[in-house]
Amino acid sequence: MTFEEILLKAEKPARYSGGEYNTPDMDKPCDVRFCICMPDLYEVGMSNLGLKILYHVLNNQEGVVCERCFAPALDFRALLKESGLPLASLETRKPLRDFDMLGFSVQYEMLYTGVLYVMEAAGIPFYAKDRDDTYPIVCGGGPSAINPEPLADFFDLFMVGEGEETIVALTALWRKCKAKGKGKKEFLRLAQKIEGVYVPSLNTPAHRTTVKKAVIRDFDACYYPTAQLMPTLEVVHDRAMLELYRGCQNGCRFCQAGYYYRPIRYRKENTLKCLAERLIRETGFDEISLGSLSTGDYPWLEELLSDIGPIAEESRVHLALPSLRLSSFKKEFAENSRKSSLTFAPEAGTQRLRDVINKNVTEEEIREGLSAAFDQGYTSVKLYFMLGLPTETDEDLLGIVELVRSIRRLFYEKHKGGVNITVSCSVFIPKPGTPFQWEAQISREEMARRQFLLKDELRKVKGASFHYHDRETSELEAIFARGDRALAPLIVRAYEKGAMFDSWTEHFHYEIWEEAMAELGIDKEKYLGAQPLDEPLPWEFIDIGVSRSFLLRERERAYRAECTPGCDKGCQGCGAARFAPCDEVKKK
Amino acid sequence: MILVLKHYKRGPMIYVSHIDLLRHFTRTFRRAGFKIDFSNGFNPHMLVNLGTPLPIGISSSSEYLTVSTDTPKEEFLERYNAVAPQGLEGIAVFAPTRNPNVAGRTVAADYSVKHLGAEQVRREVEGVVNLLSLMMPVTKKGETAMKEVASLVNGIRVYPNSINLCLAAGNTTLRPDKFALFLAERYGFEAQVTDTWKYEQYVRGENGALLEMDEYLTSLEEPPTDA
Repeated sequence: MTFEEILLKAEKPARYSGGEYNTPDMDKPCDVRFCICMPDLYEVGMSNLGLKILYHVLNNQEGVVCERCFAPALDFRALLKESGLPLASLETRKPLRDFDMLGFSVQYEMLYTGVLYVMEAAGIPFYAKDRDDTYPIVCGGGPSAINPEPLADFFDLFMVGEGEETIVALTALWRKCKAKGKGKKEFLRLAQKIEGVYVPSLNTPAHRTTVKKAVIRDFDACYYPTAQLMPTLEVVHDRAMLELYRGCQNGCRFCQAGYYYRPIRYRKENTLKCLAERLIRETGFDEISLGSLSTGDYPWLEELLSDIGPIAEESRVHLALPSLRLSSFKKEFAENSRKSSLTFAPEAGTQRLRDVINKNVTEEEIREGLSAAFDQGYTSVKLYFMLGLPTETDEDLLGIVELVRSIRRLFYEKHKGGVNITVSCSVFIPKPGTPFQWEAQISREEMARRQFLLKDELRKVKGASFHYHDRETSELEAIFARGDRALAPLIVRAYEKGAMFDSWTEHFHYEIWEEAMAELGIDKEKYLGAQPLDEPLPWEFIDIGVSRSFLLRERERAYRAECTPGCDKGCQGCGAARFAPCDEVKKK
Repeated sequence: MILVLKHYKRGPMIYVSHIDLLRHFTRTFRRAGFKIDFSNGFNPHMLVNLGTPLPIGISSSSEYLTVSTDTPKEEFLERYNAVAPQGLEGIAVFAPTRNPNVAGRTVAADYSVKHLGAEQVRREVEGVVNLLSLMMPVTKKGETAMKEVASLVNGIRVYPNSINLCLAAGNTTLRPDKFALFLAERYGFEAQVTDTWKYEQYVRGENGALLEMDEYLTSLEEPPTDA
């Protein structure tokens, strides 16, 4: 069968056909061909902002062409296998094997098997040691690089931190090496001198060198693509994305992104206005999402909205404000949006526990925020909570129920009719780079007990519905989040036994993982239990800027239920400003 | 004002489903800066109507889309093509004085399918058009049933490299790729359905005969005034 024939048999052929509007010139003269590989389906991968940025950054380089490849769905993988075709890039249908470099963007732990799935479909050996110079250089990146160890044996190198500058330096280096006839070994030796590059074969647990994450120093001046690729079919986040700033001033103690992306660096309001205008003109999307880790905390949000609002309205473009904090929710933000549903994340049910996790929001602020929303005509609220947080008791869980009840009462003080309150409860996963990186995860039995307790109690509240995360997925995610190199064989074994697309409930089979762990003699408790405070953790050679002493101090404050004020209230000395000027420090 | 855009669907766009296609147009119109009318209601949407759905995998140089806009007809095509995605290029623009109901009035379309060896059985293949009954297996949702298709075949011509088929399209549709494969199996030749083109679309004319869509749309335009 030809590629065209198998496309016609595929479930959604547009996932593999390419030809998106705003695709850069693929025929320009080049001597480095890079392929960004997303170990997830087109619809998910194309929603990723990092992909959009790095793709256009590379294609803007002279002599470099960057293409894309997404994990094929199972039906298409079977068709490829049947016809003996290797996995190829979307743009020029070049087999992945024939690229100079492959860059896997690993968004989170449940995509690890996806990496192997893509490699196998492309005919590339899993382990870096089994790939000679005839294979591409395989790089890893994305948020998972904060603890690269479980994947360390598969990748030739990792890009740790923000990739815009690292990826340009790497392709430039490979270009030079190629011209001088230098091979992969020499390239890797030189590559590890680039900021943010980790070469696992040369930097091993026995001989450690610290790797500093890469940070963009002048974020406002940093290139941002406005002629973004237009997906061929409907994708998960089907809208233009405008990134307001990096970092987050709030310091919620469970949140990896909040620490990993420090220091805080804002784009200026005027820069954003120009970018927004161009995004509308160059993409044609009917929605622009003003994205960041906490959009309500962007210092000039009101000015920005009054700048972009009229432009958006004229082009009939909807402005979306994701990740608003309850305390920053102002009624004017909601005025022009469709009054469908609002999402807030109090994360914990009692003030005590919110103080433990440093979620700087009070019950009063929650009531004020929701009161404004109800005045605006919202009748549906989504609330996100986390279960299994350090020091959590049943009282905290019942606090969630009490909060939902009080929200319901608040609604009926203002309106008649029905209110929908959706409570979504995930399970706490201790993540590297946070003050909770040493904490234990509760057992699956305990997760079940707490979930059912909440379920039973919330059933008694009219208008409330309850969703909770899968326990097995949460456990596996925790194992990998704090994993080490011993887990690489586990990923391979589980993959060989049929584990793939673990982030999709219908494809996730925990029994495969348990069998594989038993076969390899891996004790999951080593990864799930509390970690020693006095020994370096497997990922601590990665310097994310935030110091170990700061994380320990935050951990102690957590146990005392003491809040740490946000960076906007004064510098707390996390250490990230060593890497780049922090805009919150500068403001003072 | 209503404008009808005649456009291609070719290249990578042939794999885009009918439902996703609409998004490509609304985004292109926004890039072009067109003033398009919007519906009223909770979720206002651009007033754009696509023509008859084209099965996935088939190329076409005869697709029609209706749009309600203030943008003058004279400017529309050039501005559209400047920002159109590869494979959805515009061919012509019509300005009918009333809604032409393209999707509802379409009754047939011409297709061309590449083949190997059909000229050896040309007479039999072309003779199919005269059959009073023709049962073809049709698979829907995994179940195959025999369907009477004789009345859906308007014409067949075999050329050295291609077979031209005029088949029912619109409310009742006979898929050209499936029909070509059926003929190929029945008469022993090879149909290369990955290379199927739709090149004409018809409405039913006043005399009952097939009328080309372009002629129909032109007939709805205001007659040119003599200067």
